[in-house]
Amino acid sequence: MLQFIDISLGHSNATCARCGPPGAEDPRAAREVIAEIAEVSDAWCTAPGPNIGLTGFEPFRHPDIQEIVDACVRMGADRIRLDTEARALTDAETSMSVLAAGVRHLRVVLLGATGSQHDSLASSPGSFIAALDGVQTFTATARNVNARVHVTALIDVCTHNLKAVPDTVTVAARTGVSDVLIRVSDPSLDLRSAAPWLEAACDTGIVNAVWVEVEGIPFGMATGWELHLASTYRAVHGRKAEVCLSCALVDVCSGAVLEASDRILETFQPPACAELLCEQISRGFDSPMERCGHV
Amino acid sequence: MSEPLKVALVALNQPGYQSLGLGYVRSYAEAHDRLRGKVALQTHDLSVDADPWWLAYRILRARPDVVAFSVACWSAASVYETCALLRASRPEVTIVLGGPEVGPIAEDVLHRNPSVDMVVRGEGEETFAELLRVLVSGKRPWMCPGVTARDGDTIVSAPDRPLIENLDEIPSPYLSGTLAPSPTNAFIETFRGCPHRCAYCYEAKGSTRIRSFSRDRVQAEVDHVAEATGHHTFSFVDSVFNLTPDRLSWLADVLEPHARRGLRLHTIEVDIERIDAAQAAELKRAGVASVETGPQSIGERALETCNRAFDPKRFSQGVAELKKQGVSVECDLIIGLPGDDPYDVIAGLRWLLNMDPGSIQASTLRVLPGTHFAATSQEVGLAYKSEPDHSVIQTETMGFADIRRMEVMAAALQSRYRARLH
Repeated sequence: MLQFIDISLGHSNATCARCGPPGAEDPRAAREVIAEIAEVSDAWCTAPGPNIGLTGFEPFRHPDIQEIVDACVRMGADRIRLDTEARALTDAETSMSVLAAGVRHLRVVLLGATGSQHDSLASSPGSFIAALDGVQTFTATARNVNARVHVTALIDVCTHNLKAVPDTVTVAARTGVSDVLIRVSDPSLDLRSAAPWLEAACDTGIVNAVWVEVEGIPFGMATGWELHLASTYRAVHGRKAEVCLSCALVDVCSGAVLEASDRILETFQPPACAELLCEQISRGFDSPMERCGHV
Repeated sequence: MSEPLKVALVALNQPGYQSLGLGYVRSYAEAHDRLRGKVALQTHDLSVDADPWWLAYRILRARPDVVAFSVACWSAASVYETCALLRASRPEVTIVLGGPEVGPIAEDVLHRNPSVDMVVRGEGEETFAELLRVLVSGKRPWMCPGVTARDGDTIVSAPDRPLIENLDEIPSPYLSGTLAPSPTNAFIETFRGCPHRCAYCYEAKGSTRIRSFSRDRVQAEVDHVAEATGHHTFSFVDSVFNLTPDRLSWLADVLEPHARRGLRLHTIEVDIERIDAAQAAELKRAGVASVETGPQSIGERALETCNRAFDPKRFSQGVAELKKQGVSVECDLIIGLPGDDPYDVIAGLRWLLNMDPGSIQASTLRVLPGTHFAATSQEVGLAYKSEPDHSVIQTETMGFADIRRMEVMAAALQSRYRARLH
């Protein structure tokens, strides 16, 4: 719901440094970015304009970020989001300028629950405290000028920070973010063993009054897989089919109604990444669809 | 001549707000012939966020003989704690409660709150004035119609008092000078009652009958509030502003001169499915900047249980007509209605987001005293907090955890939706 169209500002290394060597950071030319914004806006057929997320390269190091944001506004964007490490926003004047330019959404990367963990994985000393300060300065500045903003904490999950994800959600909630997005970006992560940590992260969010999404969807609502993944959104408590007893997630899933499939699909319209997540979680089944009673 | 009975009228409001209800109660009592010179009334509009110890301190400074609270679900917990402090520090003071939170469950309130002496049920103006007369004359309060009171160790309820037929018998608190209009949050009421009987709402108070203030009275109040210095905005507490086309047109006539000078009306409650191009234009003419409406749910089972009609096509058309006029629409959803499951709530959010009304507000069901849901909670499978604020705990179709998840998810979506440029 309320999807953003992501437009890249260039390659970024804002992911776990221990998962692989960093590539060269590479800002994309402003004219290319603006051309893509124009293309998106032209294709947008309803008023007001599209929701645009500027992703990838750190926006506050991009030489033409002001020009790019201005172009978003000029071309009618309704919501503009910056993906950022938020260090620049610790300066209240910068936060004010960002608000004045029209940015109302931020997505701030958190790789751990403590300074030592985050800074080590981000390979950037002081970046944890800077991120939290940046979020707080931005939201306080917005309150002062009565601007409504939305800040998402983005947690990129890999084998190096998996067990810290629930604590990271707690830190994000205390910092005052509006919601949390958990992105499972490490293809080598064993999601069968990861699932309890992701579930715990979702529940940590609930008790701290912050919504947690996994990969943009609530725990992967793809056809047939909600039996395993729907504990966040189960329709009927405790109802499990017999086949659930052999499922890898039986201890963390509360079950859901079998016939909920089509309805869930219609409601959530899960993106393609859900399929990947589900597929990984259900490794070990010969024919998972068959086992779940959907074929 | 004996000293007049000193009466403190107390409401705990959201910061910046004042109680119109207390204004009515006071203006009625002050105009009552048989109370003239016998009672001295003072209004205390205090913040619901304040510490009850500080509230008790403020009230006791006035050295009242009678303390009367207007109680709503959001203020009840603070009121009860304040009453206990008042009773402990001034055993002789008479403590009276009234308002929608306590009237329908008066005996229960007295059982559970030994510091409270009596409860005024239903419309307060006439009953409270009569109760003051009884207190002044030293008679037994539980014989006063509309009052539930203690008689020794027992609790006695006098018969109900009929509703006031002619609302103009209640002096205008604005025109009488009892209530100075708040610069930012003044309210006007043009009628009482509601044509709908939604199962979660106490607005109709069991009756769909509409009783109106006279048009002359409303015109005078509007002119007075609008012309008071610095009043650029106020609102109406009417359950349905567009009750009939004729009435809406008349209200637009009354408000238009002020709207031309910049007056703007906010969060006016409307029946959105009745709004066509003509009604939208009338609302614009009246200076309406934003309206509030349902659908509360789009789930068929919940709508049926709530006794609400919903036509998505007419609803969308109403929103579209208002948007054309530049009027923002706040659409409300209720989480935890019996019959709804989590997917119904999400479908409702999705439907509203696609319509892009301007504002979306999702809130948790509160099973308020006196409502149909309170009376039939077991039948419809509702578990809810018996203490205020009466939030729903779970239903047969949504468990405890699912309701809490929906609350958090809806809050995140609202935040995401409203953070925008246009």
